[in-house]
Amino acid sequence: MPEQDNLQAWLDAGQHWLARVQAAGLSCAGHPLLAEGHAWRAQGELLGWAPVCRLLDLALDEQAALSSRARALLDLVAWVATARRLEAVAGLSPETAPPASR
Amino acid sequence: MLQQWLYALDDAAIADWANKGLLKRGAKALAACDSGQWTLAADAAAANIEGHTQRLGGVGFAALACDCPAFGPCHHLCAFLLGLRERLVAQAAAGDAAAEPPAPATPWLDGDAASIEQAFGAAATRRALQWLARSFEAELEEGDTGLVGQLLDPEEATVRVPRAGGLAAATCTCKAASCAHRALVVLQARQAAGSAIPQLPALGLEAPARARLAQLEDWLVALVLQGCAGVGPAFVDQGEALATELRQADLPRLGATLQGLVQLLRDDQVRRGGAAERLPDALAAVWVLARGLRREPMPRPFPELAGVHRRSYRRLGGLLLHGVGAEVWETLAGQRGFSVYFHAPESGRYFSWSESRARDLDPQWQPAAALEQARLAGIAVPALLQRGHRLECGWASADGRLSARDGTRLSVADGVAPACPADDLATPLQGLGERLRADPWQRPPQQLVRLAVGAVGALQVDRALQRWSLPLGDPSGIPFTLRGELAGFQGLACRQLQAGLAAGRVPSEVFGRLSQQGGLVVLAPISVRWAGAPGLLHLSAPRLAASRGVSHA
Repeated sequence: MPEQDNLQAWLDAGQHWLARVQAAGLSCAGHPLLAEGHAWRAQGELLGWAPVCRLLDLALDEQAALSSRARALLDLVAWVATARRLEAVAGLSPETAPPASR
Repeated sequence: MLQQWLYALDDAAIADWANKGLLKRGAKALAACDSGQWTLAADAAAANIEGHTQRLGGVGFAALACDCPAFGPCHHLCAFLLGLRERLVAQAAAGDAAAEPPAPATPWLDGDAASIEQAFGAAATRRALQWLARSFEAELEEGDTGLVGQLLDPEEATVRVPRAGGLAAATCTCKAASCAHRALVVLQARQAAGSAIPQLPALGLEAPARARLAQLEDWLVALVLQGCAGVGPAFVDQGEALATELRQADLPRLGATLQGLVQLLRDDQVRRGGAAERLPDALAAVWVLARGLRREPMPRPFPELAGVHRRSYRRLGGLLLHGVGAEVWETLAGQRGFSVYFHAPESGRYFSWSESRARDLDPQWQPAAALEQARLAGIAVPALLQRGHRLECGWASADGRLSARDGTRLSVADGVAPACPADDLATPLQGLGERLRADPWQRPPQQLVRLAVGAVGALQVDRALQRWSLPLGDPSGIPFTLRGELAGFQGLACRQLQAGLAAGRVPSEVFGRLSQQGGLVVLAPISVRWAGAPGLLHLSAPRLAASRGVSHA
């Protein structure tokens, strides 16, 4: 399932990036971190997640008010975490689970 | 109308208004007095019992009065009501022509929408309308004697509205003179029957809750802007205070979720392993709930988003219980305690009994020592875990927490076979998946399971994340992982498992809390049974004598 793998990898990358932004603080995030965000956005565009990309545009817009950017980032955090949870639930089915090592 | 109410008055309604003890004493007092001198007219009644005078000036318990020194209901008034009812029943049996025609069958449907406010008051009606708008509903049952409504959330109460006597004669187990429970039951019955009710309020939050949500949003925005690494202890304390205020504003789910985030921030500040990894999820959980509560209409039912405060305990009797585990625990907030777990084979449910103390308030109290000394209904914990017991009388919450209140009675269940099959992992997994798909952000209820072990992997210790894990498989091949932290009592559990595995032992059964973490089926273990060993090992309380416990067949 390459499409699902792409989505999973993109979500994992997003979670990792968001965690780093949260650790550093959006107001202190430097250009390298913001550039990574733009790269992640480009991948999302390719995967067809336009609403997420719009949120990311606002979060990365250095001209926008900081509180609006923070709210957009929080929405993004919620979106990515929800998507990862649903992906995890999809993998919970006993039929699809790999056997444990003996 | 008065006589119809008295004629139809049942013992349950009198007991709801007074209590069963007063009702019993009233019946005795009635048997010992002469009711021949009592007066009973169409709209009033009077009597003299044990030298005190009782009067009834209209329909309903509020119209009763007795000149004895008791405040509120007394056994004289119970005797008075029982005597009046007795007389009317005797008159009806004798075919007395003075008997009035039957009362309207459904007084809760009579009158217009304003009649509810007239009967129960504006404040109670307003509160009931808010509950109704938020989908809090009573379970209604219409019987021969009237309407009975059982309410569990947001408060527990039983309301009876008799067919005779109208709304004035309605009783409630809350015993208040007038209450929102009664108003809710009548509103709900009228709504179901298509009768007029006052307009439901807009499903918005009350002002205190709105104010707390606005503060929370500001706090979250500040957290994102400053970054987890940039906030100080005062900022985290502010979050903790906000969590308490959210609970006080009747948003307990959001309060508990914020408390979880605050604890992770504290862990992150002391570089506790795994905290940074869990922060994004915790932050998202708070934001999702806060956003959901501020949206109109709300994306999920209000009670689901707001949560409910800890539910009250309900009486249970005749429940067979087998001890399956005991644990000692400490929360990050400084609460220490122990829990003993039981399996009820007749229903398949698990129950727990816990005691805890705040470390700061009672530093001398040691949960492991307290567990060894603790008694439930006079029976020591090792004995509770050794053999089956029947809960003759007890109280439990809807989520299976047993209360140890006075009056709890346990007896040894002789002749009951202790063996019963372990849980089938596929069943709770299916339930877990369904619940998470319905609401990915729900806080799933603690799911206790007892699993047979078919495959055992190698115990792994992750120093970076400060946690250990042991991959296992159930007999049908479904993998699951035992997991815990390296610190505290969970670290003790790890050392117990390590020692057993190093000695060549193999776990045959584990009991613990089931959850999913990142797609993995994870069990936080409480007790383990080694293959060939007679007893259970309680992983965080190994000094507790190994108990035989219940074993899978």
